[in-house]
Amino acid sequence: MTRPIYPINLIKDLYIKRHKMPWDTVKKIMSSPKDLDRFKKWIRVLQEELGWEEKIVLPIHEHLFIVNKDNRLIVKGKCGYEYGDYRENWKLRCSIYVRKDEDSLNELWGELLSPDPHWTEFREYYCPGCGTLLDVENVPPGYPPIFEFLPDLEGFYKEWLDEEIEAENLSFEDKSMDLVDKWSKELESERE
Amino acid sequence: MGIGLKGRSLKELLEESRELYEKTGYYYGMKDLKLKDEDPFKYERFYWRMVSASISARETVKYIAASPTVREYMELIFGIYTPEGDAIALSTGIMVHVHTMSSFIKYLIENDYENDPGIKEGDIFVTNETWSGGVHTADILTVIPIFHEGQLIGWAGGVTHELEVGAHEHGSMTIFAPERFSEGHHVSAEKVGENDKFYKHYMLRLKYATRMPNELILDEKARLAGCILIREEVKKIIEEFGFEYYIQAIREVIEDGRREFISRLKERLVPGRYRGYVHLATPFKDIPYIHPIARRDTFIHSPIEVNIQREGRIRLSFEGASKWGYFPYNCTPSAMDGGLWIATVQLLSYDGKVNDGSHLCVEQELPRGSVVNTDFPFAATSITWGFLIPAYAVYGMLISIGLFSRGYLEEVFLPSAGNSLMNFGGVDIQGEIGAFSVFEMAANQSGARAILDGIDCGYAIWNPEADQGNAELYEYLGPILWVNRRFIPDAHGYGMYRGGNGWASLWLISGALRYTLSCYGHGVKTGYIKGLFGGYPGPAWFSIKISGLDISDLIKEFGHIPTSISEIQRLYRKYPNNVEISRTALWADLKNGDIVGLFYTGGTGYGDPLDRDPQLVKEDYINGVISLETAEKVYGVVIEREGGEWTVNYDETRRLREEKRRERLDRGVPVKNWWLEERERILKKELPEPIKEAYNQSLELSERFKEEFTEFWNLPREFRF
Ligand SMILES: [Zn+2]
Repeated sequence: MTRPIYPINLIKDLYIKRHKMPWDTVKKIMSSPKDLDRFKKWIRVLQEELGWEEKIVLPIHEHLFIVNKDNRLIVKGKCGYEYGDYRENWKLRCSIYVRKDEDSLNELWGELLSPDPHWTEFREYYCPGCGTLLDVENVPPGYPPIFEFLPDLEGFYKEWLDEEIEAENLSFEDKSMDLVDKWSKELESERE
Repeated sequence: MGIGLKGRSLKELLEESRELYEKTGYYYGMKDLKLKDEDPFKYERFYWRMVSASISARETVKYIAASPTVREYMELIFGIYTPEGDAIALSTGIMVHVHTMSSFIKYLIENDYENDPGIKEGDIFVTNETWSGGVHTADILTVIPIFHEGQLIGWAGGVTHELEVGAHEHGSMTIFAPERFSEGHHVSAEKVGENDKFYKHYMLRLKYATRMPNELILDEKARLAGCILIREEVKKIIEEFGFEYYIQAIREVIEDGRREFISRLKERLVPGRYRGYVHLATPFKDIPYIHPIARRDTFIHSPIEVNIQREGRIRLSFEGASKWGYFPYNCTPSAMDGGLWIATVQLLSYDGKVNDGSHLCVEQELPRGSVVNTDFPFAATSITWGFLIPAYAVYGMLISIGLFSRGYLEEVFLPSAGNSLMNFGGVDIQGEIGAFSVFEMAANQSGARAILDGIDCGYAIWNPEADQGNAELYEYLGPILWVNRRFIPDAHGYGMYRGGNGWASLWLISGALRYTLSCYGHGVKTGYIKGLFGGYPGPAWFSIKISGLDISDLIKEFGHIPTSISEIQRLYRKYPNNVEISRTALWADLKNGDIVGLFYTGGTGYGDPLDRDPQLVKEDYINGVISLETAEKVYGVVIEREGGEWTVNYDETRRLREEKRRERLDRGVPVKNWWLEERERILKKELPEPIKEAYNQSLELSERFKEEFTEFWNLPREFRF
C-alpha cells in the first residue's frame, strides 16, 4: 500500500476551505490510504493559523485545543480564552443557557417540530471568551454535563506516535469532580 | 468421532480456537502470516474470491427473493464462516450481520447440534431469535454447513429482512409489543430441512406464520439458494487453491483482519475516553388498543462510554442504562454487536479485511438486566433498532472526535439518520389481505461532516447502499397512494455544517375496507441525538392524520392537497377535530379519503451555526431547505433580493452575528450557578415522572452511575427520586 504525502497547503485547505475545495480532490483524499504525517502537518497548520506561543498538543474541538502552557496542559479556546486542566470537563467553565420551557424550545423549530420540555431540555454551552456555541446537549433534566473526550495523551504521544511529551499533568484521569467538589465546599461554607 | 477437521468435534475445535487466541494473542495462534508473506498476490486473490462468492450470492438473491425489503431496499447480506463460526468474508449489505451469523453458528456448536439433531451436508439451519444470534423477528438467518471429504470445513450464511412478521400489529417491526408473544413469527435455532430441501412441515408452518406467506416463503428459498451458491463456489475455490491452502488461508485472513483493525485504530484515532448519551421516549400512555402492560410513558436511556485503549482495542460500556421493559426496544448482546458493526464498518473498517478479526478488537460491557442486555426471557426485541440506531450513531459521533483530533477532517461523519416506521395492514375492498412496513427510511438523512453538510435523503445507518425503493410498489401492496413527499424547511440539526434535511410523506387512503396503521420515529418528544461541536440535534418527530374532510374541498381551498407545514398547521387550526398531530400513533379503522403522514427527522449538525458559510445559507434558502426567518435567527445571515437575485448582505450578516454572540453571553450563566440551581430542583425531586423512573433504574442497576450522579450533584449516596 503506497501512502500518499500531501503538501501542507492541501491540509490547510481542508481546514480553511473545506466545502469550497474541489470535490475531486476531497474524494481522492477520502478514497486513498491515509498520509502518515497528517497529524504533524495538521498541528503545524493550526499553530500557524492561531499564531499561539504555546505548543498545541491536541485539537479536541473546532474551537478548543489542548496546549502546553508553562509545562501544564490546558484547554484554550480559539479566541484565546483559557479554560483549565484538560482532564477537567471544559463545559464546567462555560456559560450555559438551558431551554426548558415551551417558549424557548419552540424558538428552535416552531411548535410542530419542537421537543417537549416534559421529556428533555436543550443546554447550550457558550465560550465565555467569545460567545461561540460549543455544544448543545439534549438530555433529560438532571443529567450531569457530558465530558465528551478525555484523551490519554501519554499513551498517544509515547506509544502511538513514538514521540516525547513533557508536562506536569499528563496522567490519564478525570479531574472534573475536583472542581465540583470545590463548588460543594463553597456551598457548605456559605451555609455555615 | 466428530464431524470436524481430523475427526474432531466442532466443540473441541471451537475450544481450541479460543484457547489459542487466549494463549498467544493471535487468532488461531497465527503468529506468522505464512501464505501472505510467501505469495501476497495469491493470498489476496484467495480472499477476494471469497468476498466475490458472497457478493455474487447476494446479487443473485436480490433478484429471486420476493419481499420488497430484499428486492427494493437490498436488506440482505451473505457470508462465509470457519468451521468454528468465525466470519472470513462478507458481501456488501446490512453489515449488522458481520457477527450475528457467527453467533448463530457458535450457538449450534455450543449446544451440541452436532449430535442432536446432527449436522450433515445439505442440512439447513434457521433462526431469528436474539438469544441465538438474531437481532429481531424481521431478520431471518439461514446457515448451511460446507463439507469436504466428509469433514465440516465451513459454513455459508445469509440474512434477509422481512416486511411482515405475523405479529398482532402488522408489518415487520412491532412498535408496541410488550413481550415476545406479540412480536410475530419465531424460528428458534432450528434444523428446517435436509438434502438442500425444506421439510414439508416447515413450509406448512411458514404458510400460516405471517399475512404475507408468499414473500416469506420465497425469501426463505432465496436465502437457501444464496447459501448453496456460496457452498458450491467454496468447493471450487478449494479445488483451485488446494485444501491445505484453504484451511490455512481462512485463519490468516482473520488474523490479518485483526491486525489491520489495530493499525487503523492507531492511525486514525487518539486513545482515551469518549462519552455520549442516548435516549428514547416512548409516550404510550394514551395509545388505545395496546396491551395494558405496555400502556405507559417510559423514558429509556443510557450513557455510552467508548474507551480507545493504547494497545489498539475498543471497549464500549453502557453502564447506567435503563432497565429492560415491556416494550420492543430491548436489546441482547447479539443485537448490540450488530449495532456496533453498522457504525464500525462505516467509520473504520470500510475496506480491507472486514471479518471477525476486527471483532476480536472490540468488546462491549452490557449490564445484565438493562435495556441493552435484558434478562427477562420473554422480552420483546422486535424493534431493537429503536435503540440501536441512535446508540451507535452516538458511537460514530464519538469516533469522529478522534478523527478530528488526528486531522482527518474528510473522515469526520455523524451517522445520525433518525428513522420513522409506519406499520400498515388490513383488508382492502377486493378482500385482499395486506400487511407491511413502509420502508422509505432506507434512504434518510445523515448527520453533518466536518467539511460538508449531511446527506439529504440518501443515507441509512444500517445499510451503506441506501435506497428508498419505489413508492409504486407500496401502492400495489396496500390501499395507500402517495400524495406528497417533500422536504420540510428548517427540519435539520443546525450547524456550521447542517444535518441532512428532514422530510415528510403524505398518503391518501384509497380502497381500504379495514385498515390499521401504527407509527413511531426517532426524535419523539426529545429531538434526535446530539450534534457535535455546537451542532444541534434533529428536531422532534410527529405524525399526522386528517380525517372526515372532503379532498375536493381541500383542493378548492388550497389549490392543491395541503402538504407544507404551514398548510398543515393552518388546517389544524381551522379543523381541530379533523386533524390529529401525534407523537406516536396507532390509528384503527382508517377511512377512504383519510390522509396520513409521517415525518423523517433531520440529521445532526456540526459546529456553531453562526460559523456557517453565508453562501450555503443562501443556497439552502433558494432550495427551500430553510426559511428566511431561520437564516437570520439561527444562522445570523441576512439574505436580500437584489434585481431578481438573492444575495448575502455581508455587512449586516457580520453585525447580526456579533449581536447574536453577545446575546448568548447575556442570557447564559456560569455553569456553577446553573449547578446550584439544578441541584435544588433535584433535591426537591421536581423532574417529570418518566425521567425520575429512568434515573431510579440506573441508580439501582449501576454502581458507577450512582457514584457519578450522586457525586456530581453532591447528594447522599442512597439518593433516589
Ligand atoms: Zn471562544
